[in-house]
Amino acid sequence: MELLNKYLYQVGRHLPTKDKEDTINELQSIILDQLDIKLQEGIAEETALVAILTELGDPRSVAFRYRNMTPLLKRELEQVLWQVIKVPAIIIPLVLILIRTIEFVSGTSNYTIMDVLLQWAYEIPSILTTVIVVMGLIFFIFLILDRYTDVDFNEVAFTFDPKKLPALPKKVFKASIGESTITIIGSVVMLYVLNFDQGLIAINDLNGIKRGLLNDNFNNILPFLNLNIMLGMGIAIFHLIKRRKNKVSKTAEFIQSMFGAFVLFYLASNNIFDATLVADHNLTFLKVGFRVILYIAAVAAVLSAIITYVKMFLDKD
Amino acid sequence: MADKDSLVKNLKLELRKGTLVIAVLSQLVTKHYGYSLVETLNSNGLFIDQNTLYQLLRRLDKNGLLESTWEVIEPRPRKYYQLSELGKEVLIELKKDIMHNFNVITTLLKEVT
Repeated sequence: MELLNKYLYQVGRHLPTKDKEDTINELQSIILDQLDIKLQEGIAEETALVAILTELGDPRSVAFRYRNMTPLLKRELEQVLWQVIKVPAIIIPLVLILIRTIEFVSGTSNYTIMDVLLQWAYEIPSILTTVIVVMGLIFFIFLILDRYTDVDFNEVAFTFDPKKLPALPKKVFKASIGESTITIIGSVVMLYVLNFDQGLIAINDLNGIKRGLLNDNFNNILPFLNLNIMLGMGIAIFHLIKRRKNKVSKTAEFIQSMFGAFVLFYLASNNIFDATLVADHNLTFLKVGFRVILYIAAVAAVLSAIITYVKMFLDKD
Repeated sequence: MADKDSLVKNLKLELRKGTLVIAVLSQLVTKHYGYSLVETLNSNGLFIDQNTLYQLLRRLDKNGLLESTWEVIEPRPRKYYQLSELGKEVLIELKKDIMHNFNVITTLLKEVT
């Protein structure tokens, strides 16, 4: 019943998580009841199933009918939208990075590759914002076109053919809501503390003035730390919404963990504490202890990432 | 001719829309699952496609007019629907209304040849 599973999977993709299981079970029972009737009439199973699914209609429309909703855009327009939206998603980041790189290189006499990479890291928030705004504008334009015009992109009207349903994803893993939620909250807290309120990681110097405990070495590594935290948060948000992991998201998790381990190694191998404050308050133990903890955390992150990733291939269905 | 046909078709659909809800509610005095309800309605001359029926069942269920339960009766689990107490009250109201409308229309159509 692979065809049926493919169909139900595609319907499920457009259903809210709350109702998904119940709706899919009901739809499956409906289809199988009809299949029983057709089999009794002597029709071959696959022919009968194709006929039933064709009559039901394409999975997206079925899902929206079950939700008592209509999609925001006509299917034909949606297909064009996805083609159009790929262009700015690729071109805008490349163009902005190129412009910033040229500006940086032409304005700086001595720079290293690390300096260039740091510049790119600093640009990530503004690039992401620009891409999101442009995509939103394009979507809004398509919405206006759908609602108020009869625009025709010469797209062939969509005809549903159950035999052309995409293959089922190879493997799906359950995602823990608790783990994802804790990751998201922890990421937000860390981003806040490290970027907006380093006063939380500050102590008074001998003159009674509050000073940040972390020095410029840490500030130089901070964009990479931010990038790692945001990547982790993005993956956790994806898992929370989809309630499942797949090989692609687990691979992204692996890459993010390895990148995180690299950042931890880098932090551990550089002195990130303000030397004056450390000396004034006899905090050498902090410097040493933190370094040890970071090295252990980095090794643990690498091992855990490798084990988790390899386990994905070894686990049977 | 084509214009007239499509006009009649659209108007017939409008007429049907108004009667589908009461037709479905009337059969759910007894428990039915989706496909058995389609069969019952079809055998009584009301032909309804499944997508329309299931959409309607979900809407009525969400509005509290139906109670739905999963039951495991061979060969597979099925979702059964039946009128709730509210659904029974609403059905009685709708029945009165439609019978009144039926009598009015019958009177009005007596003049039409």
